[in-house]
Amino acid sequence: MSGPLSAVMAEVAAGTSSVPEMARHQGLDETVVRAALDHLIRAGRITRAALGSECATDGCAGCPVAAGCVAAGPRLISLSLAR
Amino acid sequence: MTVREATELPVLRVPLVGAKACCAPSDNGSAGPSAPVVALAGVPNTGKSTLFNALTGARVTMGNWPGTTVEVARGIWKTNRAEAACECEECECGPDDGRLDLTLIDLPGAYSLDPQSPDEALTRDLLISGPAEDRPDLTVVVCDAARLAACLYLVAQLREHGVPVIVALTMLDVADKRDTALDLPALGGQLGCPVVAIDPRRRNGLDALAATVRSNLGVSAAPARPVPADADWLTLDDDRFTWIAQAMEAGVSGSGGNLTTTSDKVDRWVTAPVIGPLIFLAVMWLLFQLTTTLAAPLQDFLDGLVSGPITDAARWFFEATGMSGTWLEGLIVDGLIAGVGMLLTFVPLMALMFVALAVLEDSGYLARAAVVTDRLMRTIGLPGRAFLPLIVGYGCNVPAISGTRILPNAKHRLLTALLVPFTSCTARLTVFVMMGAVFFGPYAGTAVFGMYLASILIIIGVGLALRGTLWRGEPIEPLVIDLPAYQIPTLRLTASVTWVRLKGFLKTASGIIVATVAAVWLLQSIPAHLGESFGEVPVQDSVYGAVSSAVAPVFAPAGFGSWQSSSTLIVGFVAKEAVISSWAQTYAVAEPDDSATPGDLGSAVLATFTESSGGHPIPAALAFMIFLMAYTPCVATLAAQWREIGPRWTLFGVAMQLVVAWTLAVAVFQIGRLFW
Repeated sequence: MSGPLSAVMAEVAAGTSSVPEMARHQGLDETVVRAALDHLIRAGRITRAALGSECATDGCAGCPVAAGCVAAGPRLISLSLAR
Repeated sequence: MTVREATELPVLRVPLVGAKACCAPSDNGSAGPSAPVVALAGVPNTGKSTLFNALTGARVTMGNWPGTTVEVARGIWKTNRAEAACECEECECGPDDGRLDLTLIDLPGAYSLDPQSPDEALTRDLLISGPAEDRPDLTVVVCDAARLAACLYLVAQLREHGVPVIVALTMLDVADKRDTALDLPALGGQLGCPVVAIDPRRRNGLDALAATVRSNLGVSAAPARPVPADADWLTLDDDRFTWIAQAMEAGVSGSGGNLTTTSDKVDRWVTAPVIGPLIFLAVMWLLFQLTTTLAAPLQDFLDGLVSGPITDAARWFFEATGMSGTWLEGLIVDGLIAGVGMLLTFVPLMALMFVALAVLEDSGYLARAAVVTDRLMRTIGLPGRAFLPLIVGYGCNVPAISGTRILPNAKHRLLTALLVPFTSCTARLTVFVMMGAVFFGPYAGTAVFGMYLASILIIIGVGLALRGTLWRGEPIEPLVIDLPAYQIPTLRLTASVTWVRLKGFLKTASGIIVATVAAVWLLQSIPAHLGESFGEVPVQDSVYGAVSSAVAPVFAPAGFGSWQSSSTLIVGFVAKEAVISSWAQTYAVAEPDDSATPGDLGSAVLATFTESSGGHPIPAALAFMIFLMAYTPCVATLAAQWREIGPRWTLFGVAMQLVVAWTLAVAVFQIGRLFW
């Protein structure tokens, strides 16, 4: 049986880059996709890592935009299927 | 134990649920042994505790559940009903005064009955695993209406076990702001349990909840929801999420349901495979065009101020003190004032650029740009997540190199660290703007945009080349980007981010420039040949000029083989912030006070390029900008690379950058000279 969870896992594996895109592809409610992703992360089926604005602090000492990086920016996360 | 009331309440020693011995004292936050027990359950942050407080008031005790470290609150929920029945003989408890007191237990937040923590384990034990006589008579699952799907998994599991459930929906105001409409009867019909809308903060809907609880106490729960027999976890979870999806479809409409929001409609265009990248490029072109156009008058004003009154005042001071023509005047006027003054002229430009980027970020567009870029990189076979540090690199390469640590794959980290130096940082932007104004006039914005486009293309090209060799067969890891809804940028956040970035840029750049100006001045003062005095040697005959002249022939095929151009590239190896100041120092002139034409520095640079290129200054300028963009960004970036990928790969990167930069510069000039 293939349901929303399988569909979301397939989207992650296929590299779909955004939740709305996943929802469109699968004809699912966006909130259901988000709930499924959260559930899979909690269950350890996919791993999540925040990206983008979380540079190592010791590398930012001489950076003119270090503070700005933390202050704003898109919320980016990486999800990958657990091996 | 934490007592939230001034009264003496004993510590929880025995499970409340199941403590139904008749006529026990009504303490411990219990309504009495015969009182029905109602549990509040739900995922964290749904307003469960707020509801608990609203229902129990101050009649609350908190303490660890026996045998666990999990803190549980319990209290008395006084409802109005004349059925405080007790099954014991000679019962003396519970006056028949038309009230029904319930023992209310606030269970720890839990996403599911599959325990991932002691909190969830306790919730599971109390609701389905423990002895039947110890379980609550009814469970109220508090659900956030604004993220209902995430809350319904617990409901699905409770329904599978035939647990009597009532769903209490909170946060309806938030859902309403998101244009999410709920059909409670339809939702309840699909869930197979009553659904009540409440607002515990304003105490709305509490009577309806109490009435629903009362009417469901002692009533047989709906039959357990059937689940596939002997199913694996995925089949079971798929079944639950199918049930959740059906409930959402039946009971929710609007942005939280299936209707398309304005953000969705816009996203269909801005993240589309073909149109999306074109929109991204158009937005970036507009950004550079607007900032360079708007900043030009302000830059010229500051130019005039630095090269006019400030320089004149400094020269007057040296004349008045009898130090005119000394090395000190050269250091102060031609060095510090020209160098730092040149930096100041870029303050309006950088401020406008930072404002524009902050607006794009705050509006939510940059997240869409990330989707577009990610897809582009994935399409050509590069790891999509590698572009994230690259985005940071367009601000500054140093944190971008450090940011590669977030990549779990060592080869991806190495690949990204080698690509980061090709991202055009803000320090290079100042040179592009100056060159654009001198050589391309009204098309300066387009020229700058072209450099950023070239930066992206170089990253793609070099990435593909490296992937075809070092990274052959590496798996592409998926990336999901959570797109926030579009919003109107806030003035406060925009101003704050702009100020933080501008202050940081000025702080770093000014320090670099002052140090570099001093070093350049020193090298320009030291004669390359015997017989000349310190500080009284023409620049071309100084150590600075001699080294630059020795390097210059290397750049002759690229059209900028003059000692002045090569000298500034040597300085740029240290830091790109110092490129223009060193140029100004070399020519010992200032920028113009006439915005319509390139000033003295611009004229001097133009003349140099015209001469070194054999009458083809525009392709030579383009070649210079390409070289500047592609070769080693600064020593700070090298240090970061050294730390992250080691000396061998750092040196490989430097060599690769120089080869790529020189090759492209020569190609641009040699092809360009055929047309210009």
